[in-house]
Amino acid sequence: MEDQAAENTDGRTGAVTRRRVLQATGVAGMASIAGCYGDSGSEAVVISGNQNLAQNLDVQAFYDAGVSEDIDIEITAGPEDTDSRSEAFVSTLDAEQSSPDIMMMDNGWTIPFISRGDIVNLEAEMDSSFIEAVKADSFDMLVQTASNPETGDMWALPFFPDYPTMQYRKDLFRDAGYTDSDFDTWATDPPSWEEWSATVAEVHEQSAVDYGYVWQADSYAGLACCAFNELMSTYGGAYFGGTDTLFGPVGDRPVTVEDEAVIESINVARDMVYGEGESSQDITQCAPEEVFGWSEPDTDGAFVGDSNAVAMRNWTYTIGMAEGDEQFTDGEELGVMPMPYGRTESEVDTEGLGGTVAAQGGWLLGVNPHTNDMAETLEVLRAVHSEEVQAAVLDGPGFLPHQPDLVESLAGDHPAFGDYSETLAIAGDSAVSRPVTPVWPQQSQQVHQEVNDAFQGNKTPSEAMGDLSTSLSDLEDL
Amino acid sequence: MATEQQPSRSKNPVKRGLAWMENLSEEAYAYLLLIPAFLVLAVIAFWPLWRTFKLSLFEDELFGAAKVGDFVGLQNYVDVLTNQNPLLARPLIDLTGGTPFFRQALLVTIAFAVISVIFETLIGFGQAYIMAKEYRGRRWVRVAIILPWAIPIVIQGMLFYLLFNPSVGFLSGPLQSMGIFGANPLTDSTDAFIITTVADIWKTSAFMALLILAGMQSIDKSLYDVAEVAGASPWQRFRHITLPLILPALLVAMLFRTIDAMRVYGIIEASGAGCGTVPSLSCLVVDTMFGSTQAYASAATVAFITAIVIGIAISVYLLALKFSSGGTHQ
Repeated sequence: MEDQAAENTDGRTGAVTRRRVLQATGVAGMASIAGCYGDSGSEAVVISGNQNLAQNLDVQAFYDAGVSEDIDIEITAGPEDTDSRSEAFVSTLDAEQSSPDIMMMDNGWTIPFISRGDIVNLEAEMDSSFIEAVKADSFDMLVQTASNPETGDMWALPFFPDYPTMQYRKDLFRDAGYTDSDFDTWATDPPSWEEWSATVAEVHEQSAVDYGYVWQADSYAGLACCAFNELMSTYGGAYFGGTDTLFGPVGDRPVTVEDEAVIESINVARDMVYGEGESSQDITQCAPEEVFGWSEPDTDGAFVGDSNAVAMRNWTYTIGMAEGDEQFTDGEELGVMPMPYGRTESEVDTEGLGGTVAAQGGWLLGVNPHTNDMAETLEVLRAVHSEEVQAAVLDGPGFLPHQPDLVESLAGDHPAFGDYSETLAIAGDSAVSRPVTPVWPQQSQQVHQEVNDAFQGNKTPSEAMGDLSTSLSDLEDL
Repeated sequence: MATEQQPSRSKNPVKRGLAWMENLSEEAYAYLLLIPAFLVLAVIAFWPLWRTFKLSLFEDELFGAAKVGDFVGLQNYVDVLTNQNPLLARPLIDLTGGTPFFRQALLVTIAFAVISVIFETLIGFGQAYIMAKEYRGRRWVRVAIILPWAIPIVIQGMLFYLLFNPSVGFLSGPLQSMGIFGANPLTDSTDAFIITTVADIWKTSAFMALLILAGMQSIDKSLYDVAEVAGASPWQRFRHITLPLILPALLVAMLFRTIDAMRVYGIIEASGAGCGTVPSLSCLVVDTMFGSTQAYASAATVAFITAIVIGIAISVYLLALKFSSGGTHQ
C-alpha cells in the first residue's frame, strides 16, 4: 500500500509533504508567538528616578518611615534627559504598562499629564489630612505645579525642589584680590549683573582658565523654562504679564514678550557674550560664545569637571558634585550665591519680579494608574513626605527636601550644602515658576528657538520677540 | 491481481482541505504560503496607515483625556501646508518666504534625500570600482570602506558631535576661521544640515558601494574584452556596458536609500544638532506626537504627508526601473 501522505493526484512524491511543511510552520509560529505574552510587571513597587537616585538613595529610609517590610521597593534609572523622560512616560502610560508604579516627573511638564488624566489624582485616592499637610508643608510653587490648575486638586507629590545659583571659584577670586568679606556679602546680597559681569571679566583676565561665566543658553527646554525665564524676570519681564497668570487662564492673559524688559534681557545676554553695548546697562563681556550651544552637561564639564571656568549658573546638584571627593581637589574652592539681579524690585512695575530671581525647578512623583497594587504604591508614596526619606534623599543623591523647614534643619548640617543653606533659602524664596499649562510644551519650543536665534544674532531681538508673540498668541487661542 | 483503489472522498473538512492543498499547482501553493505574510503586512503596514489617516481627520485635543477632538476633515492638511498650525515646532513648508529654507521640514527632508543619495551614489561607484579590482591588500581596503556602514547611528552621531562641538572638536575652529561654519555649527540650521548630510554620506556610501559592486560583478567580463578590442575608451565602456547593465540594481539601491533618507531622524538627534535645528519630517512627527502635549492629529497629518511624499519618490523610481528594464530587454 502506498503511503497516501507522500503522494498526491499529480503523482508528486517527496520526503517532505506539504502537510508536514504546514505542520512545521504552524508549530514554529505558535512557539515563537507564545514567548511574546506574559506579565513583565515587577512584584516590587518600582520608582522610576534617575541614575543618581537609583545608585545613592537608601530604600531603608522608607521602612524607617513606616512602610511595611513586606513591600519591596525598587528604584530604577529612567532617561536622564527631561524631554526623553516625558516621552518615555507618555509611551508607558499609553501602553497601560503596570511598571513603573511611581514616576519622577519634572515640575515643568506634569500639568499636561494632569490635564489629560494620565496619572492618579492623589487628592481622590489619599486621605485629606495627608494632602492638606503636604500642601501646607511644601514649597508653594512646587505644590502649584503638582496640582490641577482648574480644580486645585493635588495630582502629584512634591519630591524635591531645585534652584539655580551662581557658583564661582573662590580661589580664582582670591587671587584677583577678593576676600571672604566679599564672598559673605554676595552669599545673601548678590551683586547686579553690571557689577558681576565686570567682576567675572576681571578675574578671568587674571586667571589661567579658558572660560569666564558659563551658563546654559542652548535652544532647548531649559532655556525657556529656566535660564532665560530668570534673566527676563530679573529685568521685570514676563511671558504672560506676570506671576499671577503663570498657570492660566490660557487664552485670557496677555502675551508680553515684546515688552522693553524682555528685549533688554536679550541684549544683556548678548552683551555678556559679544560685549557690543546693546543693552542699556554697562554689561561687560564675560561669557564665551559656546554657551549658545551649551546645556547643563557642557557647563558642568567646563566648571566642575575641567575646573576651567570662573563662574557658572547651575542647579544645586552641581554643588554636591563640586564638593564631592572626586572634584575640586586641586586647590579649587567653591563659592555659591543667589543669581545676580538686573533691576531691583522697586525699579520694575510688575509685582514678584525684579531683584534676584531663580527659576523654579524641581521634581514631583506621579502615580501610574495601571499599577498592580495601588495600596502598596500609595503607602510608599506617603513615606516620601516623611523626614526620614527626605533626609535620605539629601544625604544620598543630594537633593533638597521639599519642605522649607527641613531645608533649614537638614541642609544646614549637610557636608555639601551646609555652608550654603542661607543662599539656598534666598533662592527658594525668589523662585519664579515657568508658565506650565497644557500648551506650555509647544510654547516652550517656540520660546527657546526664538530666544536662541536672538542670542546668536540670527534675528534682531525685536524680530524674534515679534515672531514669538505671534506664535504664543496662536497657541493661547487653541 | 492488485486492484487499483480510488482514494476515498473524506467528509472530514480538515482532510478535505489538506487534500485540496496537496492538489494545488506549485504556483498556487506558493501564493497560499504567502498569505500569512500578506496578512502580517496588512496588520503592520496598511492598517496603521489607515489609522494614521483617520487620526489626521480630527482636531487635536490638548486639554482632556481624549486623544483627538472633533472631526474636521482635511482641515489639518490645509493648516499644515499653509503654516497655520501653531502646534508644529517648525513649519512643514512656508510658502510666504518668512521661514529660512533649512527650517522648513519638507524642504529640509527633500534636500537631504536628494543631496545625500546623489553623493552616496557617486562615491559608492568609486568605492565599488576600488573594491572590484584585484590588488594586494584589497581585503583591508574593503574593510575600511565598509566600516562606516557597520557603525551604529548613535556612535556615528557622537563622532560628528565630537568633531564639531566648539569646546572639544578640532574641526569647528579651523572651519570657522575659513568662513565655512559659524562659531556653533551644531546650533545653526544651515551648518548643522551640512554636517548631518556629510555624516549620512560618510556612513551610507558603503551600502551603495556594496550593491553597485554586486551589480558590477554580475557583468560578463568578456563584454569588456570585446569592447577593448573594438577600441572603446574607459568612459565608453562605462557608458555602454557598465551603466546599462547595473542600472536596475543601481535604481533599486537608490530607491532604498531615498526611502531611508526621507525618514532621517537618528543622525539629527545623535549628532547633537537636534530636531529644532534640522527639522526633518520625522522630527516633526516625533516632536508633535511624543512631546508633553500630545498633538496626535497634527502628528498624524505630518506622518501621512510624509508617507505620500515617500510614495511619490517610490513611483518615480518604479517608472525609471520600468523604462530601464524596457531598454535592456531587446
